Amino acid sequence: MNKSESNSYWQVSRAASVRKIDKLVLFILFIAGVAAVANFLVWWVKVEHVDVLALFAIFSFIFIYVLARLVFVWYTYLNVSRPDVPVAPKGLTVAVFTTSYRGEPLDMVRKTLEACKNISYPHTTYLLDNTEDPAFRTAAEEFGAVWLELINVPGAKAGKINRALELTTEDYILVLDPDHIPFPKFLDNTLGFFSDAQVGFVQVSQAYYNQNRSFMAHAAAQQTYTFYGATQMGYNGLGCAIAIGANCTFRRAAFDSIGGHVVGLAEDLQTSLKLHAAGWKSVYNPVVVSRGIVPEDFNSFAKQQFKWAFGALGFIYNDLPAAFPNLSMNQKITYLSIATYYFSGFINLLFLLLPFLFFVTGYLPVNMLLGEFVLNGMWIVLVSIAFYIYVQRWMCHPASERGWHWRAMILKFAVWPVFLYGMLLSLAKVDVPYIPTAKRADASISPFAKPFLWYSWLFVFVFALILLYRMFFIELGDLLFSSVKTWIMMGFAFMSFAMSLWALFVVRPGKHLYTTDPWDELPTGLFKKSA
Amino acid sequence: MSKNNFFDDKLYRFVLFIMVLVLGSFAVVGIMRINSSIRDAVVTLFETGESKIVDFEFKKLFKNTNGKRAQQMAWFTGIKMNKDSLLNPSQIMLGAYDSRANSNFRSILRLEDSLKTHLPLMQIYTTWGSRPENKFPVAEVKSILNLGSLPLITWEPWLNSFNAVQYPDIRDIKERSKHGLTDIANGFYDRYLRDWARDAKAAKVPIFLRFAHEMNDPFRYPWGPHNNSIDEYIQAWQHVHSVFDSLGVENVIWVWSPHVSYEGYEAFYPGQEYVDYIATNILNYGEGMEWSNWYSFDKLFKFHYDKFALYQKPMMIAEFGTLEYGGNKSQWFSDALTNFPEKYPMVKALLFFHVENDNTAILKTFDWYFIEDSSCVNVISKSINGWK
Repeated sequence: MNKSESNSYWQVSRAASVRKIDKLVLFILFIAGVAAVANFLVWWVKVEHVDVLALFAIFSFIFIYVLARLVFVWYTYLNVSRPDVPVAPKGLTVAVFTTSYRGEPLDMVRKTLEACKNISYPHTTYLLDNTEDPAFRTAAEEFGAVWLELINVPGAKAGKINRALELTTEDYILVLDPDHIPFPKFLDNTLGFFSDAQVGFVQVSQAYYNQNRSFMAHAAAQQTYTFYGATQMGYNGLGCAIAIGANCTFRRAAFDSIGGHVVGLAEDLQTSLKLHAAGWKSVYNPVVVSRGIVPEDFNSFAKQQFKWAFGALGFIYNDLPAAFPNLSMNQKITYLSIATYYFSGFINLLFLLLPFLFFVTGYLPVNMLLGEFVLNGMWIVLVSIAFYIYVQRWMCHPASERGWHWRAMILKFAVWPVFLYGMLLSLAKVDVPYIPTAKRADASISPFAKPFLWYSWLFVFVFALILLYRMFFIELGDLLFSSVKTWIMMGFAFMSFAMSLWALFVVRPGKHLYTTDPWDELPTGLFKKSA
Repeated sequence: MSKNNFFDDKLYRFVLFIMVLVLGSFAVVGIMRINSSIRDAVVTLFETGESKIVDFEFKKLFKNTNGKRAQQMAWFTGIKMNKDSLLNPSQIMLGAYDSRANSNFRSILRLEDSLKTHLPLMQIYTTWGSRPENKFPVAEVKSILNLGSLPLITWEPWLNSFNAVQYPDIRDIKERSKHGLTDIANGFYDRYLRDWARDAKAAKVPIFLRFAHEMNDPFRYPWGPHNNSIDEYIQAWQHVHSVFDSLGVENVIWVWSPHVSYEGYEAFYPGQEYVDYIATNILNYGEGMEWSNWYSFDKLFKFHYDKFALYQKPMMIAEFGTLEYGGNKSQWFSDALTNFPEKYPMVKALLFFHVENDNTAILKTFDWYFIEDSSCVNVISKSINGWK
């Protein structure tokens, strides 16, 4: 990151507009992608590719699921849309809710309160506090915020919001996480959309200012760039912009119509769903008008992801069926796609185990020519890459966000045990309490690092065993026929091994990196302009 | 563009509709076109890589003593790359087909150990079709070569497993076998033939190819005289040969292999320039079948040896074995193999038919296996090791 890049962090930055030529390019890519997937599936499903039928069936099903998701991602990109921002009418009553929990750093909350004060559109800031620490009250009063003590409220954040809704009267409510520094022009980028009486909430981009402080932070931030670019813009085009819990401005009437903010582990998604089912429209404005903190170490990241993975499955079972009939087709697919994202942990596990299944039993799920697999799969990869490159034009802050995001890819692999654990606990209906996303780095070794250690040892052990067996003990007659299959499967296992080593690097504890908190490094004079 | 009205304009709607159709069709056809034109290259690339793995493991990693097999067959190793020498080898090339050797060569190596010899030839049976297993058996051939032997491939033109989409000229599956050989001669299966021939050429070593064997047996295989005339058979053979020629495949040794129990097989001979070896199967069913009796090897073969000799071609016993109904198995082998080279100097190759559970005969399965019969093994070993 260079200096000009970090200076530009604090200016309003909006994703590029969507031109006709963009639509044309996306359209051509989409058609090519569908053709590539069709070609692949036609080639894949063949009797002669079956080795063990049950395995073939399972893996075919997974492949089809993964490809269907992929096609939906492309479909989302195809619908990318950037709304024009209507001027915010004067005289709206607006509340800004920010929350503080016990153990949350005071300095961080102070920065947020100070920034809230500087939001230019007239509003009232409320600190929803349960710290029972008088310093927080003092801080709120120092920056002209109303202090609401909300202790013993069920359900953490959403519970506090609901209680605060009872205590306030403003028509519009901006929910802001306490680590986020809003820009002065925040509300000017959201309130105008409410001129359409059907709009229930307006979401803006979520950006960060600490992503260069650690590999982990960088990777975690990279994972969000496309989501807050082309993906949410696509959801917006599909009439299904999602509330992600922070940086979201709600209409009070919308909350009232569904009985307040939903309380649960995936409460943002649940609220979003209920509002859509109740007929409210949503808007995604791809603009950076605040910056906050992204987890700087794997433990914090894992906790956040675990919460979502756990919540997502409950969301599928508990929330989605009731809302389903009231959703448009696009909304149905969007929510299904979001909620099933976390199955990837389970799928990753299966693919990791596949080579070992072969080494132990000799069973393969498929019997096909590697060359043909590569040939037919290649088109899908090519289209994916083309999309990946093209949709980068809709990053909210292109200077810092464009690129290959390789850290994010490694992190995506590194997080599979978290997803899997979340899914399994959710299936077992274990009660998990609400976990606020950690703001400070957590230095302990993540329990989610262990699967990578186990896998690495397993690989080394099995590799050595098979190599020795094949060098000294196997009979010549057996050796020659089994060479290709064995070493191809070993190659797959090796790729997972290499990824696991990377993952171990990512999930390693790294407290020594942090001698300061991110909010101590905010540029001086950040709040002077409008102060 | 203002807002989302791109899809609202009537003209755009129309243009879009046409574009979907045109682009979609082009994309599908385009991918299929490109795939089919580069498929062979890509698949070959990967198979080359795979065979490098096999070579590397066999030559660099594998430390087992069996690896020296090729050195132990020095006389054969000296001639095996030379097609002309293989037509006139200094001693009989022994070989086998072993039914337990489907996924490895363990059983065939055990057989040669028991017989205290080495088997320079190993037989593979493979059928025509459009499935992966119908392709030229690259891996098996590679393995046989690594073992130090050469393959005899018995190549059976079954036509019922061809995919009609990939082979649009071929007839409905129910009628495919009737005059199927004419379809082959007319080039309907050339795509398969060419693929196979190219792979055979890429193997770069002599390959004994026994195509459409027992073509004169009117009961057994679909390419027999109950479905095709003699002319049709000869035309098919010549066509297959010419496809190989046109691709410059020079490493194939053509083995013509009639069933001598049916008279008049001479009429099926495709011609001197189309055949390198003349082969047959000599299997003594003993009293295992209603129509059969216990016959010695000489009784079964001598008469035909003299007829074959007229062609001036090297001969091969491609399937050699006996059952034990109505006679003594060891004695049969002993009678057959003692002084064999003197009795049949033109026979240059002899392959044991070492098959368990042979169910090609209806209602009965036959056991041609003899490795567990120590008196058989001793007799055979003694006979072949006594050859000059």
